[in-house]
Amino acid sequence: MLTIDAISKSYLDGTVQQHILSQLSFSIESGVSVSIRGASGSGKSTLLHLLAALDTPDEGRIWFSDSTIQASKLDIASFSEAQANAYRMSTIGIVFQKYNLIDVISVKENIFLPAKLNAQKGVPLDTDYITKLMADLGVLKHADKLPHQLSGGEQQRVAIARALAHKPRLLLADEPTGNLDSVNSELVSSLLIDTCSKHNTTLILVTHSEKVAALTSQQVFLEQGRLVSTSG
Amino acid sequence: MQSYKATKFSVLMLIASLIIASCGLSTVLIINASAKQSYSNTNTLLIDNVQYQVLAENPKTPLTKQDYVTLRRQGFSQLIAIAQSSAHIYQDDIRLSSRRVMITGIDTVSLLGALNDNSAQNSNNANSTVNQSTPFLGAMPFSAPVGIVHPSLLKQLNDDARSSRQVGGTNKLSIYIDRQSSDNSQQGAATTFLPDLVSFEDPSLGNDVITDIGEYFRLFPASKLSSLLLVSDASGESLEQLVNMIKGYLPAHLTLMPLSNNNEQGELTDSFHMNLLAMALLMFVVCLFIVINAVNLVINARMPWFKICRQLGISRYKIFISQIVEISLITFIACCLGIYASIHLSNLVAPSIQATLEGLYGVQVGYGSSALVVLFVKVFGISLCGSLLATLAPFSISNKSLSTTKSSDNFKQNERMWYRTFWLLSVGFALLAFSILHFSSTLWLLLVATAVLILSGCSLLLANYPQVINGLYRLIPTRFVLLRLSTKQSIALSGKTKVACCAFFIAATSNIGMNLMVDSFRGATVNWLESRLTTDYYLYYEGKENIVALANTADVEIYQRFENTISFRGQKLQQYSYPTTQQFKQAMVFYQLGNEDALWQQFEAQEAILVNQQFAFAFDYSLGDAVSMANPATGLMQSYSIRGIFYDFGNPSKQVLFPLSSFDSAIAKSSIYSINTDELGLERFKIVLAGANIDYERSLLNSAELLAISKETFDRTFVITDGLNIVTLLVAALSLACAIVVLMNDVRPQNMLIRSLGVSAFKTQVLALFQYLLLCLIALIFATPFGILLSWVLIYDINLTAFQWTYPLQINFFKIAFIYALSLAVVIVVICIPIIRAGKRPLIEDIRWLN
Ligand SMILES: Nc1ncnc2c1ncn2[C@@H]1O[C@H](COP(=O)(O)OP(=O)(O)O)[C@@H](O)[C@H]1O
Ligand SMILES: [Mg+2]
Repeated sequence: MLTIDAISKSYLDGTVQQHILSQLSFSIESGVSVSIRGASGSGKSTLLHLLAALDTPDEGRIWFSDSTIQASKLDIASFSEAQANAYRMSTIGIVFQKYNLIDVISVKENIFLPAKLNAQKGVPLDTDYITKLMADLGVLKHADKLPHQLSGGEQQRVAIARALAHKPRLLLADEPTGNLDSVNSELVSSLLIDTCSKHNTTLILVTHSEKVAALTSQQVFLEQGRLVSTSG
Repeated sequence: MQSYKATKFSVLMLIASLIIASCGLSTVLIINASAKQSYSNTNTLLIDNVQYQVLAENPKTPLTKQDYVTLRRQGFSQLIAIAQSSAHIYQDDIRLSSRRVMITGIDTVSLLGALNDNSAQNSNNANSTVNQSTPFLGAMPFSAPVGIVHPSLLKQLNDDARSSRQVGGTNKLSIYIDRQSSDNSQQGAATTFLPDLVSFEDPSLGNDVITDIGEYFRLFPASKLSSLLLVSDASGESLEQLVNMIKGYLPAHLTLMPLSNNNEQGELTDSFHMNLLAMALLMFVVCLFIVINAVNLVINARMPWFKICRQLGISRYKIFISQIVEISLITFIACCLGIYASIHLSNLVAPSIQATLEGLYGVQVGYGSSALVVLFVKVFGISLCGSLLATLAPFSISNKSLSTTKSSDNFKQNERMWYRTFWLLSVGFALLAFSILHFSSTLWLLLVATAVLILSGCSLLLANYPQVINGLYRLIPTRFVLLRLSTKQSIALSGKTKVACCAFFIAATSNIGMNLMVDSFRGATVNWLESRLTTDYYLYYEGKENIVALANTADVEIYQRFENTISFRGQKLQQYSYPTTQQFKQAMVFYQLGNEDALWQQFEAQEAILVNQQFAFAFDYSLGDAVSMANPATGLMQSYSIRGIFYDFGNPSKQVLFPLSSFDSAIAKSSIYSINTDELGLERFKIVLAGANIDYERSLLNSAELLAISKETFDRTFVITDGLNIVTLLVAALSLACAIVVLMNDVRPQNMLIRSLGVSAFKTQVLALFQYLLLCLIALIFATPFGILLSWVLIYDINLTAFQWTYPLQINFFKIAFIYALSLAVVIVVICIPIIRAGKRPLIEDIRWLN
């Protein structure tokens, strides 16, 4: 469903052109979970941002196709601002390392937010689904609390529920457990992977942990802007 | 501390707010100083040690030159004659100064003699003492007559002359006097030139030209002596002896009176000073809010620095001191700039301030010599105190967070505590304000009460922000997800922008209050003017011709206003005549009146009188009370009953109206004549006037013209108030913008998140704008009742105390709506900049910065 076709991204660092991603290509099947690993600064976040249409590559294309919605392929790399917004709102979900929740509204309202935004665009709101999602992620009992009343692990689980609430085709998670201790990290990560596969959502997960990566169906290793190994 | 790069904006804001604050403060101080100096010394006219003066008892029997000569022959060489007239100054038929100039003649030769006598008694070194006590004599050469003027007046005249002179005109400044108002015996004669003007710097010189009395009588041959000043060093018993001796020799028609300090005027101008000072302080306080904000911003930006410094082992004390030193330095620089700007500004607004003082309060305004050092010390002192105070608050917080790692405080409980505190504060302030208003009638206490009242509103607003927004939140349909979200966010915002919201509330309240007051006043005055200016034309004339007789020959209907001034319970009282024709009856605008038919009957029978509000409020009279006062014609005491209290805006004096028959038409003075006639009649009247050598060009006005002039003066008067209002609003908006800059970092993660959910940048900007506008709107809604309350207090309490007149409060909803729109517009303009700046940043930058 996602075909990355020779994308390159570089930044001007002072006077030196820093090539972060160079001629990177690979493809991801619908419904699978992919983990991306690599040293700090290897370009993992950059790649994820490109996939989320938050940033544009210097060259190359990113083909997105989804048989359930439309037959034709879309090039994420050449989205307009409005297209990118629509894509982020309806098609994908994002989980960051931190700052995933709005602290003035309750956990429940946070989770419902993207679904409601989509509801404004005519997508029906599936309350049962979201309630079940919350139950799966174990955050139902915190529904009426404010985010800052939860622990770090609970907050990230809420963030996952929020990212999945509008039934995205693709979930992008950039070190979602980077701020958690290793026990919690594995717990939340496995929950994430399980929930995604349960709802048949494609997952791209950036992680440092080998253990977590082992839980995914496909593993990617980034080094010097290139894919070093794929397995799974 | 080399961290200016990161905090350039906030430091700039800090300096700007301090400049505005110090500029406003020093402008007001300069204006206050000049106004104060000029009127307080008016009566002594550059001469020290004058405590008494000889005046005529009655205008019928004036003080004559013969009286003066007789008294001096009797050995009272301490009595010095002065004579005064006011006149416009012209050059080649072009009026130079818009204001009348007071021309004073002093018997300088006798004065010199008297001073020499005095000093001879006290010391051997006579000359130096003379020059010390009356330095202006030194500026008067005996060789040629000169007029002494304040350098600023001379400069103003020169400027006016230059701008009005045609190309190729004479180089020598030739000035002549329009003597029409005081002397018309030589009408048609060539212009009378003023002597050479010599500038002389003295704070007591205002709009004055001082000259020798000989020169004065050359200018005004028909003028009378105004008074004789008693120039004497004597004090205590010897002074009393002298006074008694003079009293024994004085002819019956003259009296010796202590030189009054002009109490009424003093009070009036005091209230004006209070007014200005209060506004300046208001602005200053609002500026301090900005300073707090800006300091907050600086500290926020420098927090990492401080942490590094702490880790490097620099003590907290040292960091603190370095910041204090820095703030002081910034304050110093800002004060210099502010004072520099204010000197220019005060020169700019001086004419309009003078117009206010003269028009509204009947006070002579002069040119103050502003002592720069004193001014600077004052302003810098106040600013420094203010800015340090403003700094202390954020610093104490920063110190805390330096020493302890951030503790996650209990949000809900905290909020409830704030809520209770603010409610308590609000109720406390309100109680305090009302008890002051109720029990006190001292002007400054009343002003304090209004300030407390505003503070009470402030606390009320802060206490109820979350409740009101929550209420609003419930009203928004759940469909509008983002709107609801923003509304929720503005609750959190209100907690973080307390200071800025307060500033905005204060600005809005004072804006609404002031505007309603001015509007009510304008409405009442225009109404009153339109009603009172009932006849077709008005003639201003103070000469000797019998205008009524002239009008009769021209077959024109004319009413003269007889004027008499008496002393009533130690204060000046105007006794004026008022015609009792149907037209005039209808023209009277009453504040309170009894039965109208009976009223006019009794008025004509000289049993009832009409008094102005100033009279009634000053002496605490009400309708139906009996007053005993001198009959204007006979001077005998008589009892009158007060049957009507009328509006008399702008009059600093107490006034009582009598029917025309109460005056002795043979001797009573008149200066205004009301005329009813058509075009033809007017032409006939003009011909008659011209025949009697009366220059009517500038003194015969029709009512419409007069009304227009009055309205124009009025509007000009309140330009200052309007200007200050806008400035306050702007300052408050700036403070809000400052707060936004601080908060932008706080809300950055949330905006990032919302935008990553696919909400467009434009929408998030609009939502941010909405949040702040919501806060402002709620502040405005809270400010409205407080503004109305404020105008009520201003009209019914402060006005009454300060001016002894009041008028009905008119609540103009259009005006309030206009203020709403204006305030929100100002806010939008000011806060748009930081919001758009934040929205322009690509989302990816935010994400990278945060993750
Ligand atoms: N806007 C930018 N300007 C310059 N360099 C950047 C910018 N954004 C990212 N980089 C650089 O790109 C590299 C890759 O960053 P990132 O994708 O965040 O790495 P990872 O997530 O794998 O740690 C880093 O060296 C970072 O410094
Ligand atoms: Mg990263």
